[in-house]
Amino acid sequence: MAIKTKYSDSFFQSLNKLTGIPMSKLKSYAKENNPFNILEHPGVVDPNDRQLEKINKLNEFIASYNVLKLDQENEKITFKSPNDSGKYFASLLGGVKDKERFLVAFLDNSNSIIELRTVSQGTTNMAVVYPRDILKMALANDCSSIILSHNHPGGSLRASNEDVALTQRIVDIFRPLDIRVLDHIIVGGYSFSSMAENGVLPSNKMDVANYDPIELTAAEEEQAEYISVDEELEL
Amino acid sequence: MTRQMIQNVKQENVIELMCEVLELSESSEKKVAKAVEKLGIQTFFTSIDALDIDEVEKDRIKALKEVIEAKAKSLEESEGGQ
Repeated sequence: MAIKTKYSDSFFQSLNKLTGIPMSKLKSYAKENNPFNILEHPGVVDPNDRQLEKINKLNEFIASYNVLKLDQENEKITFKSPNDSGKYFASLLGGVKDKERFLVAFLDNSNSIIELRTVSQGTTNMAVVYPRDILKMALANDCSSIILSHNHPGGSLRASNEDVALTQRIVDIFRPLDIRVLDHIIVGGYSFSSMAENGVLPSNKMDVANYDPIELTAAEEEQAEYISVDEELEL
Repeated sequence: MTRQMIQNVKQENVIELMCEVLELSESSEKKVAKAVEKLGIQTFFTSIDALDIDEVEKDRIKALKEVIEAKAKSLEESEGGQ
């Protein structure tokens, strides 16, 4: 049977990381065969005991994962409101006090998450965001919209002037590409605030797009209206 | 046993197996388990980058994601070709 799929080096590296089978063996076998036969019939690559144990565990995981994935098929996260996105980001950034992290969720046209990426990880009071990195990730994900989020290690939920300016610059960069910036969630402690909900999300005005790095410094500790997040998050 | 309880047991089993496959440290195991419980298994795999764990461990989770996605694609192709 002809092999339709061409597997990348990165795929063989991944399989090597998980099973310990040398890349040369994996690639050599895959020249004429489907590499997944290795998982079903490990004998074809003559694994040692340790590698065999790892292959068996990987098989067991994949089988259980597929069953769970089917069960959770309808529980895929879709952002329908600022509350949905706030809970999601608070579950990832809640309680982070030692550094400022800036995350971007890339969404499809039904507002389901395609991928989440950390675009910057700074010190307790500063992070640098490179718009061109966000742009590259957005194009790679072929997304329809994005949601920005970062934490204030000091716990403030107020969007600073810098936060608004940063968001405006990202809106300006993405607008010509028809990629909408739906919200910017600020997480402080285990709570969050939504710039869209608070009416401070910049509009789609077309300014001159500026791709220079953006320095995000610590926000004021002034508290704004916020939404509490229960310990048990329901997304 | 309710449907939700069955699903929780399945999820615990998947988390346990995943941690064994990935050979994560104890603290990372806890973080991964908490993230899967909060986000669900599918969203967990789209949110790896945000996990507060070692880059090396993150790379192993990304490797696992790549293998399961390639396996699913391979199955789709073989079923589509029949």
